Amino acid sequence: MYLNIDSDFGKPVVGTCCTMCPEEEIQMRERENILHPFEVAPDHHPKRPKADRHKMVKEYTRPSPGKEDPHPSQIRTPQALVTTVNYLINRVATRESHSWSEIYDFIFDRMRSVRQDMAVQDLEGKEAVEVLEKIVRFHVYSDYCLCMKPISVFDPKINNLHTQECLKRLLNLYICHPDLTQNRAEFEALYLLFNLGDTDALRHCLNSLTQIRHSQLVRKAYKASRAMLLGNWVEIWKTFYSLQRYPLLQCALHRHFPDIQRHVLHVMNRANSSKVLSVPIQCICHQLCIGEPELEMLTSFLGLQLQHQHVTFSKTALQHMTQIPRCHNASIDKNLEKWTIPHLLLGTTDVDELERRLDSALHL
Amino acid sequence: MAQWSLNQYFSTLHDALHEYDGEHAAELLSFKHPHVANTRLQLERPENSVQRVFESPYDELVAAHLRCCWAVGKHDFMEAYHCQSIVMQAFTKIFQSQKDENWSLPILFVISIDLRVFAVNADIEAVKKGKSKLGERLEKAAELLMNCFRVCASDNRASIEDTKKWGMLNIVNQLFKIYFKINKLHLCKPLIRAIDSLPIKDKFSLSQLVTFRYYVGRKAMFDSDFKSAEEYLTFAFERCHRAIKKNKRLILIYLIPVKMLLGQMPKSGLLQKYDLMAFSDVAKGVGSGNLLLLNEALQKNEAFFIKCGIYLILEKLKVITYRNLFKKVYLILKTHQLAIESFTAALRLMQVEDIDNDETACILANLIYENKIKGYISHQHQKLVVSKQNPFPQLSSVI
Repeated sequence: MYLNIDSDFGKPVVGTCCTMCPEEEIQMRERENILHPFEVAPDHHPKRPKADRHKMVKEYTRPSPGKEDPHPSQIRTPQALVTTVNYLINRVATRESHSWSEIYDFIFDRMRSVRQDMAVQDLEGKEAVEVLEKIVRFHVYSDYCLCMKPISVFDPKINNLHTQECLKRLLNLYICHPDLTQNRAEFEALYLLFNLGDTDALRHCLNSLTQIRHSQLVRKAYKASRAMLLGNWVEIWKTFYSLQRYPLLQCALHRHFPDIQRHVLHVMNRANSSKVLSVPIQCICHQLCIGEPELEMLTSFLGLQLQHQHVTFSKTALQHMTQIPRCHNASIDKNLEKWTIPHLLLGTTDVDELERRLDSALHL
Repeated sequence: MAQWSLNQYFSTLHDALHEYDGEHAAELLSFKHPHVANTRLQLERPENSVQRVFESPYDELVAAHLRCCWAVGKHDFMEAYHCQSIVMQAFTKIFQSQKDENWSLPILFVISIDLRVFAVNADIEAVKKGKSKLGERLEKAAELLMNCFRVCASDNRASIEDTKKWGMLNIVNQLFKIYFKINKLHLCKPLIRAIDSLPIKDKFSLSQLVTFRYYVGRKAMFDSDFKSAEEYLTFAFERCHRAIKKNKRLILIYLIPVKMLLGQMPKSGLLQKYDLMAFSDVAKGVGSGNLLLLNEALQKNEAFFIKCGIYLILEKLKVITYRNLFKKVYLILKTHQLAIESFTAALRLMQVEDIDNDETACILANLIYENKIKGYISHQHQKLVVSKQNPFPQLSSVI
């Protein structure tokens, strides 16, 4: 009868695969000779492909309309998904013999397949939260590391799209599962900084629970985002430097540097416009949050006049300012160096948290 | 009516539908009408009795309506929402098959309102039971409404009297209510465009036009298009029926911040009349450049402003407050070359957190950039040099 509601139709599958890659896929990829260099056994030869079963990770495959639904044996269990993400961070992200862009391509794809396995099972529990948190950190970190690479190597737009999708999913999980919010403040802050000056993100923050909104990190992030809205770059930089202990939050903010710098230059050019006056470059570096070598590059890029270590602004300059190129930031580099990549991506850079964990480990 | 037997209800509804009496049929399918409280009509399994009187596809619509009465009778809003969505779907099918006629529009209007209301309540219930996220059913309801909207919008052949396009604005207003509630404002844009391109766009009933402009005004406000926001909201405020004070108050909640951003402060009589005293100190703070008072007022009424979705807009008033405060500094010092330090001192007096000359210069530079101050900054001398003529132009002339 048409009024009946509940039916089994559309019920999510429950995965049964307990390894990082289903056996079927390992055999298929060996047979087809499509193993990734990170996955092959020591005695692998292109003519005799051989996989290392401990290194095989399920690939992402695009869903297509005609394809049959995956069998439960090809879908990983929540625990296997956590293991997969941890493996990628602990064992692959640490491969020093490879550039980060190579590592990025591999991990991005494999994490995407983790997300796919989560989606078909409609996972919402603590594993889903844990996995998404790590994936978000990976994307934010990569955005910073690869920001100076050409588009053929790294496409920031695609990376941002995935970061945003995971972040939104994660924040939704926090709302539905108030018990899984150990890292919520970190990610609410990250969401604000990643979407600096975005009114939707700010409204999301205002509508969240008071205890979240008033946590120190979220307050800082809110202030920075509001400052972006009001054009107050000095306040943004102040917040930026106050986040030394949270290098990934700094990375999320770093994505907006070109926009902020562009605004700074436009405003300073207008407000300091004078034929006789000039501004020393140290001051401009400070206002733009960059070093002197980068400024020199930037002034020639913009066609600003640089004389005796001073810049003269004039109303007619900068009329056709295009996108300012991104460059690495000394402060972020310094803060990132303090941690290993697994520390950063697994989320153990919070000193207090680390101490707490050490403490509890000692008391066991 | 409330004592009707099932057969009496059936024959009245049947006649109304048969005579194309949309208004009457709409009443008989609306939850604002007393028949829904009649226990003889609240039926869990009405299909068989309905099929004796009504042909397909009307039988589906009527049966779902009666089951919905049953669900509402026992306060089960999840079930009520489910039934109402079947009503909506059945109606859409019927509606689509009616060529060159629009007599059934009144039915569309009542069932879509009920659908939205049940979706809101069902969402609340579902979240309480931990069954889903907030807004899930509302989003589905919006999809169903969209289906009907498409039927209306694509009715190009019928004459102006018979066209279903007359239903568009009503559905758009329903959809606005949903999109604002679930915070999906970007979905409003195509709807606004669809209405704006209608030749009959100004000929809808005034009450619908008021609702439409109220939402379009709010949307413009969120997009920082304050001039249009003012225009739309002013229309809504002036044309809204004066007896509906509640709605006029709602409009003012958005119109007042927009006017303030454009430099116009509300009179205290108006705030009193509409019970909007929360804005009183905000207006005073902004108008007199008293940043401290503004911040206190924002903090004090935080919950109210956040609930209305205007907190962020009010934060933007800080820029104007800076301008007004700095104008006072200028008037006191009576010179055209002003030390940045004096502005920092003023901001410190207003308890701005760790303010320094660097940040003050940044705020001043932004004000110059936005034409709110005429002048320039001399970095060497750490001074703001203002124009001899009209250094603080009227706000309405620069926004």
